[in-house]
Amino acid sequence: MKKRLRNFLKLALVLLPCLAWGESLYSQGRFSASAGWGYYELTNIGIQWNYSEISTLSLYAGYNFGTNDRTSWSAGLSFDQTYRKPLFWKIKAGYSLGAIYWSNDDDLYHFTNISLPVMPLLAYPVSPVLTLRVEGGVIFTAVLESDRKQNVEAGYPEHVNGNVRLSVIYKLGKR
Amino acid sequence: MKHNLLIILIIAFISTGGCEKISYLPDNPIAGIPTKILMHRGCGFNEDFIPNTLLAAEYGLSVLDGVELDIQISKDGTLWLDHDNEVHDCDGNVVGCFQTLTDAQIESYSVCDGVERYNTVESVFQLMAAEYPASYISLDVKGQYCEIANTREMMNLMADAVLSLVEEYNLEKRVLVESSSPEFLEVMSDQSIVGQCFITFGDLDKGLDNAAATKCRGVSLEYGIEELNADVVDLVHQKGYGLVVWIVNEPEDIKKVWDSGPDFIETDVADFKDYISK
Repeated sequence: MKKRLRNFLKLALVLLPCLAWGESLYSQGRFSASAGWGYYELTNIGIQWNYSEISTLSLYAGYNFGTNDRTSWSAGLSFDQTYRKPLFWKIKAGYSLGAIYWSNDDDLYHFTNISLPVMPLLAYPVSPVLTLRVEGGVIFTAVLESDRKQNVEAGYPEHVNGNVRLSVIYKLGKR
Repeated sequence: MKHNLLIILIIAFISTGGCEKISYLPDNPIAGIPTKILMHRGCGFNEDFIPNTLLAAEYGLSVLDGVELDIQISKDGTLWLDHDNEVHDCDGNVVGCFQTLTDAQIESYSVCDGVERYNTVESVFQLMAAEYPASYISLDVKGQYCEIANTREMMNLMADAVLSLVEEYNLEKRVLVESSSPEFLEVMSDQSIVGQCFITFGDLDKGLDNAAATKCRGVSLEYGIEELNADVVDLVHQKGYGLVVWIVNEPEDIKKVWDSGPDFIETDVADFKDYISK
């Protein structure tokens, strides 16, 4: 029992500063929630850590929700930088680098892949807490797993392809 | 800067349209050929011979439809037979790499205790042209890893040397090359006398994708990783590619792979054909 209590206290010692730090970041508007659609990212939601005025780390997960005859899901992370000075009107430019782990499953194949997108981006701040973002660029793909389910068609994921992503980003905890 | 960024974004958007994530090979059916059996390393399991030598090749050619041999290239641009990229002396010490040694240097290490260990590809072609003109030979292009100088130049040189020998000995349509070097296969893509195959370690789909990208005529598939049957071979032929399967040695595998009907099977078993009829 004492040992359990000791372990609990140890855990609390670790977690409490993290929670306090998280709350502090949250109150400073350091986190954002994102939702959107991407060709490879699919319909996705995610969380962003705005660790500086121009830099963000994002985590997201996506699914195709039956929009075609495949079952696809994705999970990704990205590092984005948006320049302070607007390019024109209020639109800011930047870039996004990342990695996407995604699958494609249909009657013909099951593929699991890792892709690396390299994309310039444009961000339009609709309000202090809401931003619309569009990214487009090149994506490089490596196949991790392939399973052919038939012997009529032979296919393989494109190693280099175009990609586009549209997102709405909402800044959390901005006070 | 602003305009450049806009142009990049527009190109990115346009490039996304119409680019499927998965690309499928179009149908381009070929008939394939009646399956030929090649002796792996020339002599297979026969320990009376040193693998990848002229004597081993002579043995293999005498018992099966052809042979599979590993090739290297010397500093003089001559193709030699060997699996390893290093040249050894008679005590087994490494004395250099094929691509950094001249033909004379390699020759000086080629005989140990009266037995020849290093032979040229030309010597086998001479033998084939004279005594086995209807047989097949598959050349496994080994990576020049021991001392990397200029891979592209080296691989181009190897490809040119193979083509030149095939022409010289009139062995058109009798020679296969197996490689995963894009540089080697790039040279091979614009000719019709040698059958070039992309090597794949069990993943047929990856092999077909690479074969398409390098304009290969076939896939060289490691056996035993994925299911292989007549439907799979038909798929490969339907897409316009030949199929080499290696290495098939177990009796139950021999029957199974033979029945699937690939174009070439590589084996270490001299009495391979006895198992087919069993």
